[in-house]
Amino acid sequence: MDNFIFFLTSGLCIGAVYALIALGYTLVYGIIKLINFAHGEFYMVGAYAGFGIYLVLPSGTPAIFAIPLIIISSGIAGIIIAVLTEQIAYKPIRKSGRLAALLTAIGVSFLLQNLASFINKANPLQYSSDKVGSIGEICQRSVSIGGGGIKIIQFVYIPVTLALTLILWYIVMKTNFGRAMRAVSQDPDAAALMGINIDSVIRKTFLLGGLMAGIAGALIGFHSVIEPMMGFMPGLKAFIAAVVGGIGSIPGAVLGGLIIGIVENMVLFCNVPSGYKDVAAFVVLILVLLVRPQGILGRNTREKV
Amino acid sequence: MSWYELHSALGNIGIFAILALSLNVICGMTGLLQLGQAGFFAIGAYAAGLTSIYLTFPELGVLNFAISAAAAIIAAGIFSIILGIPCLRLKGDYLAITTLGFGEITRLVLVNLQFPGGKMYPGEKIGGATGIKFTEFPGDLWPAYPNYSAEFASLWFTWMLVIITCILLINIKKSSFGRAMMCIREDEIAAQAMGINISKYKMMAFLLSACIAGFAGALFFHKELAIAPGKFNLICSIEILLMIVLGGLGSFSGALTGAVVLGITPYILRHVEICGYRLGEYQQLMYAVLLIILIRLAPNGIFGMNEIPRWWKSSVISRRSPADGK
Repeated sequence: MDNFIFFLTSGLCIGAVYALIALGYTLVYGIIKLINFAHGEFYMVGAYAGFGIYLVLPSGTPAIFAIPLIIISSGIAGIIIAVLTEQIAYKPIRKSGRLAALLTAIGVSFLLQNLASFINKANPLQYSSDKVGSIGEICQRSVSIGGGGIKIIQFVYIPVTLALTLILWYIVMKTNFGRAMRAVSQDPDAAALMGINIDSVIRKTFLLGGLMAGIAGALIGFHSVIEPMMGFMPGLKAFIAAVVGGIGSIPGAVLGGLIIGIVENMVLFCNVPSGYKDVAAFVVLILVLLVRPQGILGRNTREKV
Repeated sequence: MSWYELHSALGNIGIFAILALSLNVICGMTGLLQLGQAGFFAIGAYAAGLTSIYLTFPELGVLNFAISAAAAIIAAGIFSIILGIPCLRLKGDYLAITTLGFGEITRLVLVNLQFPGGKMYPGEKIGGATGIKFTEFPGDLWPAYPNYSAEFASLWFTWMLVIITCILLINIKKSSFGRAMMCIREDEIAAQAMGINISKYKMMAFLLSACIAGFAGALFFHKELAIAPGKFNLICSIEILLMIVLGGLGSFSGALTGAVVLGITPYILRHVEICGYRLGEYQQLMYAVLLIILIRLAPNGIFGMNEIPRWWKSSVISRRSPADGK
C-alpha cells in the first residue's frame, strides 16, 4: 500500500508534464485540425535550450534564480521553434488538405530529431550534480514517499502546470484573442468574414503551444537525460492524453495527461514488467476511443452531409 | 558497390515494394490513413520465423517456406481482424493515431516477449530485444540446412512475387471490390447511399492489406534469417508511407516506382561524399527534408491516382480516344 502512494505521486508528477504538452496539441488541433507530430520536438528543443542557459550561467548562481530563468528561456525557445515551424512548413500547405499537413508534420518531426542528433551527435546531456548546491545537485535530491524516492524538483511540475493552465484558460475564455481563437476553431471561413486575421490567430496558437512544450522540456530536463529522441514518446503520449481527455478541451487535456501519467505508473504498481509501461497509454487510448470517441470531456459533433 | 551489397539491396527493395503495394490498398484506395504497417510486417516476420524454428522438416523441402508464409499471412490476418473490428469505426486522424499506436505496441511487446527455443535452441529462450535468429539445428541433424531458406528468398523469387502482387492488386482495383474501396475514399456517405456496406469493405481492405504485409514479413525473415524488433519501428511505417506518397496515393504502379526510387536512393547516397560528409549517414535527415519538399511541390506524387501517368496518357493514348482525355 505504501508503494501505491509512491506510484500515485510519481504518476501525478509525470502526468502534469504530459498535460502541459497535451495543452499545446489540443490548441493546435482545435484550430487547424492538424496532429502536430512535431510538438514533441518543441519539447525536446526546450530541454536543450534550458541546458544551454545552464551552461552559460556562472556556476555560483543560486538555484532560486537559475531555475525560473531556465524555465523561461526554454519557453522562449519553444515559442521560436513553434512559430518558425508554422511559418515555414505548415503555412504553405494549409490549403492542400489534411493528409498533406499530417505528412508534413511527421517530416518536420523527423527533421528536428535528426538535426538535433546532427548537432549533438546523440550524446545524452545531463545537469551535472558533482558539486553540492549546484542546480544539478538540487534537482537530483529526492525525498522518500511511500517507499520510493521522488525527486524534489518533480513537485514543481504540478504548480507550474496548474498556473499555466489557468493562464491559458483565462486567455482562451476571457480575452478578445481567445474569442477569436474559438471562432476560428468553429468555422475559419465565417471567422475570416467577421474580420478575424486567421493567420495571426494560428501563429499565436502555435506560440502558446510552443511555450508550454518548451517549459515542459525544461522541467523534464532538470532530472533526466536530454537527447534528440526524448520528445518522441512523451509527444505521442501527450497526444493520446489530449484525445483521451477530449480534443479541443483545456480541462480535458489536463485530465487526460494526469490519467495517462497515473495509469502508466499503476501498471508498474501491478508488477507488470516495466518494458510494457509504454504500452499502457495506447491501450487506454483504444479503450477510450471505443467507448467515447469524442474523449472524456469532448463535445460530440454530428456529421452532416 | 559489391555484388553482395547489390543483391541484398535489390532483395530489400522488392520486399519494401510489396509493403508499399499493401499499404496502398488501405491508404491510397480506401483512404484510411494507416501509420502502423510495420506492425503487420513484424507480425508476419515473427510468425514466419517462429514457424521455421519450431516446424521445419527437411523432407518437406520447398513446402517449409510455404508453411511459414501461410503462418505469416494467417497471423497478420488475425491481428488485423482483432484491430480492425473496433478501430475501423474511427475516422481520419483518430484512426491514424490508433494504428500508429498498434505499430508501436507490437514493437514494444516484441521487445519484451520471450519465446521458448524449440528444437533449434533447446532449453533456451529466444526473442526480446535481440530478436530471433535462424541457425543450424544443434548436432549434425541437418547439416547445411539454413541454405534452403535463402534460396526461397532469392532475387528472382522476390521480384516475381512483387510483379504477381502488383498485377493482382491492379485487377482488384478494376473489380467491384476496388470500385467500392475507391468510392469509400471519395465520400463515405455517398458510398453508403449507393448501397456499399462501408464497414464490410473497410474491413476487407484492411485484411487484404495486412495479409500482404504479413507475407512481406515472411519474405523478409527468409532473406535476413535474423530479425530484431528494432527494425519494425515507426520510421519503417513512415518509409513505406513515403514510398506511396512519392508514387501517388492510389496508384499501384506508382507505389512500385516509389519503392524502387526510395529504395535505391540510400545505396547511391552511401557512395556520395560532399565536403567530407558521407551523405549515407544522414539518410533520415534527407528523408525528412524530402518528405516536406515532396508534399509542397507534388502533393499528388509521380503517378497521381492513375496506373499510367497522365502526361503519358495525354501524349500517347488520348490521341486515339479524345473523349478520354479529360
